Amino acid sequence: MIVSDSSDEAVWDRVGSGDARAFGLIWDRHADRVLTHLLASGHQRADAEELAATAFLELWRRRSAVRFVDGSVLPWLIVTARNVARNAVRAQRRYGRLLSQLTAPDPASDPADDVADRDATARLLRETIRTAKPVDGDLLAMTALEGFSLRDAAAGVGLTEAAARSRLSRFRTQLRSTLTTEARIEGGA
Amino acid sequence: MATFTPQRSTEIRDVLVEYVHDHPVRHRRPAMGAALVLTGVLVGAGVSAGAFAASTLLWPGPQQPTGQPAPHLPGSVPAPAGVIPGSPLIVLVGQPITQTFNTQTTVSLADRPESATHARVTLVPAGTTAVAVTLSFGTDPNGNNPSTSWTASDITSGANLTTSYDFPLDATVSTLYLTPSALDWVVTIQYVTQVPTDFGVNAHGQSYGVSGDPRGEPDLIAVGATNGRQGYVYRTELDAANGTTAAEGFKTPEDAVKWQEAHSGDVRRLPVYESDGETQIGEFHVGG
Repeated sequence: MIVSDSSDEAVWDRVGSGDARAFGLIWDRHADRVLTHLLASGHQRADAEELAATAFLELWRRRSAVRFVDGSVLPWLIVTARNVARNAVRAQRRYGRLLSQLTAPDPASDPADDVADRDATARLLRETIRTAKPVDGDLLAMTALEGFSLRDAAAGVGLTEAAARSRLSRFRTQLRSTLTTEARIEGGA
Repeated sequence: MATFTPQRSTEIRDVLVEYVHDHPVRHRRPAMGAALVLTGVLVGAGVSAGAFAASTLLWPGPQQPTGQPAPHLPGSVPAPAGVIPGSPLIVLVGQPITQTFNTQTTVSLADRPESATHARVTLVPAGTTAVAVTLSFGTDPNGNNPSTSWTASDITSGANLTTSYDFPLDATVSTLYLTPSALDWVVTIQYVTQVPTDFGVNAHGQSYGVSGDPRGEPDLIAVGATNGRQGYVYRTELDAANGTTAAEGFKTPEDAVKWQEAHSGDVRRLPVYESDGETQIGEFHVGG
């Protein structure tokens, strides 16, 4: 891994001026974080690895749209990874031949190690996020799963902080009522 | 935190770096509000008429705009006699494939010779009609493909509907998408290898060749003069006449609109020279 103090934005400028190898540095910095997010969102290891690679390909394809938050591309990457996962079929068709160059993932890895938790509430949470409006799901995942501040999450999805706060608040209320209802059903009351 | 194995991470990293390397940022001419009308023809690199909207034809940008497939081209060679420097040499590879269609159709481009850099797609109408015709064809699954259309009067006045384009091929391209209306068409796909040629350099050290090359613009740009002869205009004169130079000073879209209004109706006549940049052989008209 290459260690560097420069911000993602500075590295990005180097990529833009023709230094393709600098893109590898962006991968080194954020690949594991993106992979972890996809696993925590409920994807199997093999899918998550391919989706992470696809998110980085999308990062470059949509380079003119990339947003940096305090010099970091990570919020944008996480949102992109979530978009890629939602549109997996289309994205993987676009890069199918590239991705097919990769060897098959290690069959020895145990999927049980990959999923952040198997608790029923977490599964329900993931399911609710998955079926929510994309922007709401992204905001909740960024703040609750990834620990971004509301400001950074808002910038990542392209909203003002105020708009993000109001969306998130509405979505949390909805979520709370879903979880309460489910808990009652599971508890048999 | 979950991690990639080092081997897996390196493998994906290599694919990403190669992809970025093969799809570099291209610096395009500043966009103008609307295309100016040129009399005469800019000689493009391997682009056939008909396939693109007028503005693209009149103002060919880089051959592989951002986001377009970028084939692995072989190294460039000096242009042989009869070839305008910078335009590619075309080598046919494999046998042509032909198919008739009259509804939305896809043709697989996956099984192609290794050395193919482009798919030359030629579309010929297989019949006649008296109504307007549109045809969209290309390799982008999201539908961002060239399309062309003819009005009923174009057709009754005998317009040539045959259309051709060399689609660049890379790992992202596997299918040709065809969307016709109103007619039966015959599509022919011939794989080709485009071998780039070098720009020429004249006795004054000025480069000359075709516009629209990803390597940059030559000092003297190949054009067809109004008298039908092929020659060159100075890039600096062309840029000044078509607004490229002015566009560098534009700060807002309104600046571009103002410039266009101020110059609408002007016809600027540029001298067309031999490749020596001295012997004038005709004129090239910009604007009007």
